[in-house]
Formats: sequence, C-alpha cells, structure tokens
Amino acid sequence: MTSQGQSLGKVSVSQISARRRGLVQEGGHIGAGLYAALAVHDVVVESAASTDEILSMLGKDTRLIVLNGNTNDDQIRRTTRRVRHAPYGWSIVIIVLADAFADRALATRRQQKWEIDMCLPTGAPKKLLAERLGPALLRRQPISEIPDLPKPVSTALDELWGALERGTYYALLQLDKRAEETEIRAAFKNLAQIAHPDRHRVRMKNYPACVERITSVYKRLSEAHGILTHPIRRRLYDLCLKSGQTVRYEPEKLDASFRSEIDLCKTDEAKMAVLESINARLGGDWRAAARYMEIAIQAEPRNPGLKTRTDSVKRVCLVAAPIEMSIESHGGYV
Amino acid sequence: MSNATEPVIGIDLGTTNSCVAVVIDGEVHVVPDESGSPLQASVIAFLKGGSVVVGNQAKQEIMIDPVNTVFSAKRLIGRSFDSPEVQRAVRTLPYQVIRGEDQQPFIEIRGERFGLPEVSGMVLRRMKDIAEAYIGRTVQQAVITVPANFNDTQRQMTKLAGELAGLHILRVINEPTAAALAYGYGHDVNARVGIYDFGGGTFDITILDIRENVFEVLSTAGDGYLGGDDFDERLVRCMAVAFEQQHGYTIDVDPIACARLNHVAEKTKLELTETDRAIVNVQELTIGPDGQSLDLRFRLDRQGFMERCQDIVQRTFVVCDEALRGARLQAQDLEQIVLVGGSSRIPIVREMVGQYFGRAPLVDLNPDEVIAIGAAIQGAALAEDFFVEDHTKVQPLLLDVAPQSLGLASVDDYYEVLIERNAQIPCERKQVFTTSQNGQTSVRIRIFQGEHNSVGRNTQLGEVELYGLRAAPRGEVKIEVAFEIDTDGIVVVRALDLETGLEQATRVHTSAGYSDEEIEDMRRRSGL
Repeated sequence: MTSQGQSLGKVSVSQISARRRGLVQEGGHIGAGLYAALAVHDVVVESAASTDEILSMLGKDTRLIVLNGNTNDDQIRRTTRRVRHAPYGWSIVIIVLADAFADRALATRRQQKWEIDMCLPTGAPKKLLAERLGPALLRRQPISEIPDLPKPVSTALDELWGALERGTYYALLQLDKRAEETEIRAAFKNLAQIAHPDRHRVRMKNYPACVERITSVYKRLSEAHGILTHPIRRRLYDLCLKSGQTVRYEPEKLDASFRSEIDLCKTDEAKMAVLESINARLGGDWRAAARYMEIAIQAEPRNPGLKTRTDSVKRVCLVAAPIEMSIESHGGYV
Repeated sequence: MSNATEPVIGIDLGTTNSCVAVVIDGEVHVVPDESGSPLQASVIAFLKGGSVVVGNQAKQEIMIDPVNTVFSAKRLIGRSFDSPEVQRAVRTLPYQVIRGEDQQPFIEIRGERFGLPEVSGMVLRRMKDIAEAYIGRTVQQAVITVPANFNDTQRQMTKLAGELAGLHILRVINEPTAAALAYGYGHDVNARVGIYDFGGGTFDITILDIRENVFEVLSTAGDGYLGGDDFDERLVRCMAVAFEQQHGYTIDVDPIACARLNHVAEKTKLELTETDRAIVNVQELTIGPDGQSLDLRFRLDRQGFMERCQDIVQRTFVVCDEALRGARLQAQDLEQIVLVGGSSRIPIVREMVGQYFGRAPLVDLNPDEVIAIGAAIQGAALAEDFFVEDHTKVQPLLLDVAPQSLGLASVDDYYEVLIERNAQIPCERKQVFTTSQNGQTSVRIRIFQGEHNSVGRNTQLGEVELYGLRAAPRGEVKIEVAFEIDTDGIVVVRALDLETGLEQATRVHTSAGYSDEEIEDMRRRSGL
C-alpha cells in the first residue's frame, strides 16, 4: 500500500461509524488486488447490474463507483453529472474501466472534462488501480470524517468545499443576492474564522491534503468577499451570473458588446449606471435601461461613444414600449 | 501559551535596529540583551582574525573600521545590483558592495563574499540567541516583519536570512500590520484604523478594519523613498545655503564637510523634536579658498523647520490618499490613527497628520518595540491550536493583502495584471498559456510586480519557464498556470497541462536572486 493509503488507515477508518459503500458495475472482474485495497479502506463492495442501478443505489455513504465493461460515454456522463450534483459531503471517487480508454490521450481529456478520478482500460493491471485508490479516496475524503475537528466546523467546511465548483459567491457566503455590504463583510469574517488556513495549522498538521483543500476554500471565500464588497465588480458579477456562463467573476466571458460598453466609461459613476442599464435590459426593462444610460451620460457628458450607445438604447426603448403594453394586454408572457 | 508549545519569537529586522519579542504565558515580553537593552543595532562587524560581532557591540566599529562593518543591509536585500537603491548604496556605504555573475549584490569583506541574506541572517541569529538566553530554551520558530512595500524577492531573501539563522520562519508579516496587532490585540478595539508608519527610509500606510480580533487589512500603500532621511537632507540644504550666505563659498565641493553636515542635520532634527529651537555651531567645517578654516553658525526654530519640511510630510498624504482610495474610504472615516516609526516622533509630522485625518493621532506606542510585539503575537497565534475546547483567549486572525499588483508581460510588453494590489492573500489567479510556434517545447513567462502600465517600469520578479512540452502544432498545447500569493506575500507558480491533467514542470528564475549553489554556500558557511 502507498504511504498515503496507510495514512488514511491511521487517520480515520476506525472512527468512521458507517462503513463506506463501493458500487461496482458488473461485467468483468475488478480483481482481487482491488478488493483487498477496498477492504483496507473499509469500503464494502456492492455490485450492480447497470449504470441505472448504480444511480438508484447511490447514497450518502457511497465512496466509490467503479464503472466496468461496456459502459458507454452517455452512461459515464450521466453518472458523473449525478455525482457532481449530489449534496455536499458526498465525496465519491469515480473509476472507469473501459476499453474506450485504451487511447491514453483521449482518456485523460475525458477524465478532466468529466471529473473522473481514474480511468483505465479493462486489461490494465489491477495492482496499479489498488495503488492509486488510496490517494484518490484521500483526496475526496470529507473533512467531517476526520475526528480532529469539531463536527460543526468540519461539516461547514465540507459544505463550502461542496459548493466550491457550482456555488455562486452568494451561496458560498450563505447570503441573499440583495445582501448589504455590511452583511457580506460579517458573513465573510465569520467564515474566515473557521476556514482560514492559519486556523488549521496546528490541529490539521497531519492532514496536508485537507489543509490544501481548506486553503482553496478560503481563497474562494476571499475572492467572493473581494468582488461582492466592490460595488462595480459586484454589479459586473451579477451580470456574469445572469449570462449563465459561470459562477465566478469572469467578466471576460461576458458578451463582447456589453464589455465594450462598460469599457467606454471612464468614471465609476458612469460605469455603475451602464451596468445597471445592462442589467435592466437583460430583465427586459428598457425604460429603466434608458434611464440609467441618461445617468451615465450625466456623469460623462463629453463621451461620444457613450452618447451613441445611449441613443440606441433610447431607440430600442421607444420600439420596445408598445410591445410591453401588448404583452400586458394579453395578461401574460409571450 | 502552554509550556508544551514550542516558543515562537517575533523579530523586527530593522534597517538600523532590530528587536525581538516573545509571548510567554499570554504575556508579551520584549526581550532585552545581556546589558538590558531591548534594541540591537543591525550591524555586523568582521573583526581582524576572523571573529564576527553582531549587534550593539558592533556599532562602534562603524566609526573604527567602517570598511569591514556592515550596516543598513536591509536597504540592499532582495534588490538587483543595478537598482537605484543599490547604486546609491555603492556610492555612499563605506563597505564594499559588488555585483555577482547575475544581478545579485554581494558584500565583500576581507576578500570574502557574503550574500545579503547571510549578513541579515547573522543579525537574526543574534536575536535568536538573545531570546534563547531569556527564555532558557532553544528557539526554532519565528515570525519576521518586513516593510509593507517589500516585493516578492525581498520577502524571499528575508525568509532565507531567517533560515540561515537556523530559524523556521512561520510567517513573514508586514510591519504596519504587526503594529496594528500590537495596538489592537487584547485591547477590545473595534474600529477602522490607519497605521501611519514613517520610518528612516520608507513610509507605509495601512488601513485596517479591526473587529473582534480579526485584523482585516483593507489597503496598504507605501513610498520606498520617503523617510526621516529626507528631513536630514533638507536640513543639510538649509545649512549649506546658510553657510554660503555667511562665507560666500559653497560647501558642496567638500565631501567630508558634507558628511559632517549630514550627521549634524540628524542631530538637529532630533533636537527640534525635543526643544523649540536649535543652535548649530560647527567649528572648522571646511577650509575656504584662501586656506582659512570656516565655521558654520546656524539657528533654526521649530516653526522654521516646519515651514521648510512641510512638503515632505505632504508627500506622505499623497500615499495616504492612495491607500484611502484603495479602501474606498475618506480620511475622516478612520476612527483611529496610530503613529509608528522613528520619524513619527517629529512634532510637525504629528501635527500635520492630525490635521489631515481630522483627529489627534495616537502616539503612545513605543515605535521601537511595537513591531516586534506584533510579530510575537502573530507567532503565538500561529503556534496555538485554535480549536482547543476551553480556550480562554480569542486568537487574532490576520487577513493581509498583496502590497503590489502582480502581473506578466504580454505580447508587446504590455503589462497584464493578474492579481491586483490590495487583494486579500492567500489568493490565486489562473491563466491558460499556449505555444506560439510549431513544435515549441518551452514557454517563458516574465512576471512583474508594480503598478505601471508599461512592463519596463515595474520590478521584474523573474521568469517562469514551462519546459518539456509536447512538440505539437502551435496553439495546441494548453498549459494552465496558477499564480498564487501565499500568506507570506510570496509568489508561488504552479502549472498544469490541460490535456493530460498532469503537473507541468516549471522553473523559476528570480531576478536579483542567488543561484542554488550560492545559496548552498551560504548554508554551509552558516553551519547548516
């Protein structure tokens, strides 16, 4: 067993109250070596006939899914998506053993894309699999399984970790989208108390992998705090969310026309007003959009680019107004 | 702090003086040396016969044997040989500063070459020894402070100095932040505070929000060329003008007289801090054109000093404005202004700071000790387990920021900022890089710190080289590089090959840094 595997054994296995389940899809033997490794990690193997059955058996205590044999791309995708959308604390290692993964380059690309922990061709030596299993389980081990931290703290950390990839900054800080700046600051400070890596230096010194995870949680928290307490960036972030592309602050992913419009502004006032205007446009409120553009123009009267934009927004507003009325007259959305 | 925990000392490694403090049983002790002095001169004297004396005993050697006595090493550490600071030092310092193969400066004493971290390490070792004698047990861990405007290389070199002194450096923290800890920790402070740190050669302002022992730095700004020395220079000018008016003869042609004036100016400045007027009388300052000796007679009152030096203090407010903008605050939003640093003793500074912020600044902290105290508090907090069941004391949590923007040179030498200044640390930004030529197997990324739009005006930290890439048509290999600023304010670079998901090998060449062999040499000489 690898050193990480051993440290996992030492860490917590005896303290885990419920044994962990490994769901293995039938259709090819996974090998004695792997079974032995799973036993070391206190994972009990249950077999399932198909991917569908695995998905139906999936539960809170599932730690491992081994997709085997003739699994096709679609089945893999469904499984990984399901696991990715599982509630927090479900830290599941996914292994795919399929002939499709004999092409290494293709395999690694899919592995990245679908967040598969390991994929190997069916005929790969099972010893290799057993060796890598320990580190993979450790990487995905919920912090709450580590007995050294007070339960509320580790549960909260798991929750944050679970929200990291798909949670918005608001969700991370456990806030409403309309939260005031003071609330944002307070929420961040509360979470920083338990999620700052400095807090874990002493207690978690035997779990570097966990400290690393906590550090990445903290980095995202402080990113969220930095963006949400900056009025313009916060507005821009709200736009990012509306565009649906991302849950992080990535204005570069915004529509190019929006970006160029924001870049037209020199002053913060104008920028803020333009952001409000774009927001209103996305919500279909062109009158408000035009009003905000007027505010922007007041802030920067000598900005020809901004003037042109304002005029075109006003034009749309004139055209859009009667449509709004016609929608109202029908009493619903079209 | 329980006895079972390893002691962590806090060291203020200063340009002129250093100070060490430690928390014992929840109490901060500023550690005195054998003779009871809380301060040690940051001076290293290399005596004839090979022995080395560090600290207060070495101080007199500056006068006796200036060529073999190193002081003000902090001005040089982590800077490249061609930088203006090092160039100025080469001209003015009596000991010899030479250039290594690369850009890195060395100090040459009696034919032997020393790296800057090595000499600073000697000061740190002295501080460690003093602390060990005081506590009565070995010390292996420390927190060291640096000026807020220190860049990555300066921080790394300071950390290396600590290691060469046989210390494990738990954290490198900013001096104003340390001062804030000393001011606010355990004193039930809940306020927005400005730390106005006006030292001998640098000025830093840090704005913090302190609530329930969470010390959140909102912004920091600094000027590395603004300090007490500017007052001295101004006084020297005034005296030179007075001398010329008296004798009709300029003193600028006599370098020794100028050096003496410098010394006199510093004394005058100190005197005007204590008293309302100073009378300067220097006999035989220089020899006139006719061979006669010329004296200087000069008198200045506090009012006159104020008038002549107002603009220097005014320049600190330009920096304060910058910090306030960074924190999106107004001067009057700050609920307390804390003055630290030697130059904050000057009455005109206190007065003008009071006017600028609209409130009387707090001046009762001991500027010599406050930074080491803060470092010791942070050290104790890092050594203690936060999650102990019955902790009676709330531990401080320090949330510091990146003092300078971190960026890289893009295609046509345009400076692309990755991490903005005042971003909370630790933080990370990822960027995807790709090859621009067919079959290219390595990519070089130049990284910089600074605020200028053009790359050339910022400080180059070094070069990251991604090597051993798969030979492929251009644009096909995609490498994701994560630039991180860690809790020490030090830059960490990691790279990931997006195609294979494997860690991409990187090499970081630091500018003004030492080669591995040179560092190895330093370790060997330091007995590690």
